[in-house]
Amino acid sequence: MQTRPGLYQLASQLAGLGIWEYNLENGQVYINDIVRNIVELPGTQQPSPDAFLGFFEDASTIRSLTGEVTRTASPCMITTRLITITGQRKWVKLRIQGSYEQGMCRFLYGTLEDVTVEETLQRLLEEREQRFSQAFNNAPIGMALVGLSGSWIKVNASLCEMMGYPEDEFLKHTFQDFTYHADLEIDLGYVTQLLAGRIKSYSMEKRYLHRNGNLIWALLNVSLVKSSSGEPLYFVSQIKDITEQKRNAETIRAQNDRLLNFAHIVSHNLRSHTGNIKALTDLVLREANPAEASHLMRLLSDSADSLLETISDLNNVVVIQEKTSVEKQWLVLSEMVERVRTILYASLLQEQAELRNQLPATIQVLFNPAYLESIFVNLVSNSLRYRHPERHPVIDITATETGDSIQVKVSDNGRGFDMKLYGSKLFGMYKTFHGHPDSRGLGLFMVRSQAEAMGGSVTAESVVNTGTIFTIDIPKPRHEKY
Amino acid sequence: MKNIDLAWLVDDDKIYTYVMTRQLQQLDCCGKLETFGNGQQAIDALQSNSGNAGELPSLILLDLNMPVLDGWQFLDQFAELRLSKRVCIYIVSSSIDPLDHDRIQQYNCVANFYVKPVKRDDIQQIIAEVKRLVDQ
Repeated sequence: MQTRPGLYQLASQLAGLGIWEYNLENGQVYINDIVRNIVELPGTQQPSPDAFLGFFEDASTIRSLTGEVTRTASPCMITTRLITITGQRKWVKLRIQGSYEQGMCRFLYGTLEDVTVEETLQRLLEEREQRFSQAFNNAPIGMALVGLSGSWIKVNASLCEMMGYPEDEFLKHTFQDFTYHADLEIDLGYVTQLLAGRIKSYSMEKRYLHRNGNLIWALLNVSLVKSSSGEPLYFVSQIKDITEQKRNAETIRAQNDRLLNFAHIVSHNLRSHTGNIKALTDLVLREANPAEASHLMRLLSDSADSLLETISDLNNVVVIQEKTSVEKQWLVLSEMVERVRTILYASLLQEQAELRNQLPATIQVLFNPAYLESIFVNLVSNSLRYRHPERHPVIDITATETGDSIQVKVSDNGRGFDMKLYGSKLFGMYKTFHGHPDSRGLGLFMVRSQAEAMGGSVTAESVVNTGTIFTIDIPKPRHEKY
Repeated sequence: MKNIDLAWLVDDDKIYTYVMTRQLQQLDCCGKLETFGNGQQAIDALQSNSGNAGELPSLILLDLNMPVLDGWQFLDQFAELRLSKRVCIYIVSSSIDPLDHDRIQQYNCVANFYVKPVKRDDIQQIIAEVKRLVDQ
């Protein structure tokens, strides 16, 4: 029986192929050196059939397979595991074939290959694939596979939620469709570099358009997947929503600006008074004439008063700017205007002014009542103070409503002012323009501070000799992010 | 002879202008001193005397924060004027905002910049500089 397999035994050595035979007639097993190596069986002695079968972890399956081959005469192959003499587990590919004489199976033979490396690799890949797929689908950030032309191949749930599209609709678009137009060129520039192999990956902050039209700020990370031959296949994109961070950063920046601006205001206003006090003191000390010295002392006292007044003003401003979480409540705008009419009753009468409240009783805003009253009182008083000398003041208060805010307009037929000259400084502290004796340059500064403390803003338009319109933009409370 | 024939103070702070007037009088260096409460009044006076060198100042001490026309707007309009005399402008302001200081550098017509209160030495320095320029 050693002669029969002689030739293929030689060939098998060359191919690294393990050969085994099992003679059903005499119950002997033959294995070649390669099989011996695989199972790490020392010496030259051939194993018994049971011993050989015992190497296989799942011996019963192998046994039933051999039974089947014996019966059906059709060869079979299985990838299975065995345990070597030293206890190592190995993946092997086992082929089983029968040799027949006169319709009887005389012996079984076949090959045995060590496929541990390939099999481990294969299993690793499958496991990785599964893990990637899980990570992809369940990632808390948006992930996508994107085709070379920009079409979405696969997107995860987070990304669908971020953009507001269900997956099937999402996949009908390209990434260009969702990208905010101003950011597209930079992104495409990176894509070109990536495809040309000049960069391996890129990340950028960019804006996407949510289905509802809102802008989303995102941190995008893109890398290119290539085939084994180096052909670009598709992009893997990670997209993290940073809208909230951006918004917070913007709030912090605005707060810093306000603080810095305020620091300069404080410094400037305190300096001008203390500067005077210092200069007056120097003069008093040099002054020989008692009458003049007494005059200087009066000026000194005035300067000290101004200084105290300024400190008190600044303190009022700080109180507003510091308490951004000041109490808010729902206020009917129209009722507030009527309240202001009562407060300013005497002034309106004196100027023979007409205050026309054109607000529908339905409009409400979420605002601090004292701030809203102060804003209206300041704006209406302003209209009276800068009335046109040749006509009775007419002040209209109207409101319009858009999706996320209410715009309240206070318009008058007063003297107006030159927007080119004063537009940028109108709401600054201690800025006065008309040289009016009552002007202190605080009213509009307070209006702005109070509007901003409530998350709103205030703007002005004016035409000389025609009138001025102040617009207060009051945001509606945001219930949900999207 | 006085060092400077005519100087203008352009500032809305009445106490400052009073103190400055006294200091200049004590130093006895200006022939005549005139005060304007804001930039517009000064620009108007410059315009109506643009050809009359005798009525134009050699020195203007200019504040930045003023009603009607502030120091910056004054400088912008000043640059457009054609005057028959060389006028030196010194900014005297309470502002210590670095942005203001940078912005001043952009105006060629401004000779220098002082933060209030101005010391006696500073005034003497300004007068000396202006005199040197006038004598040239």
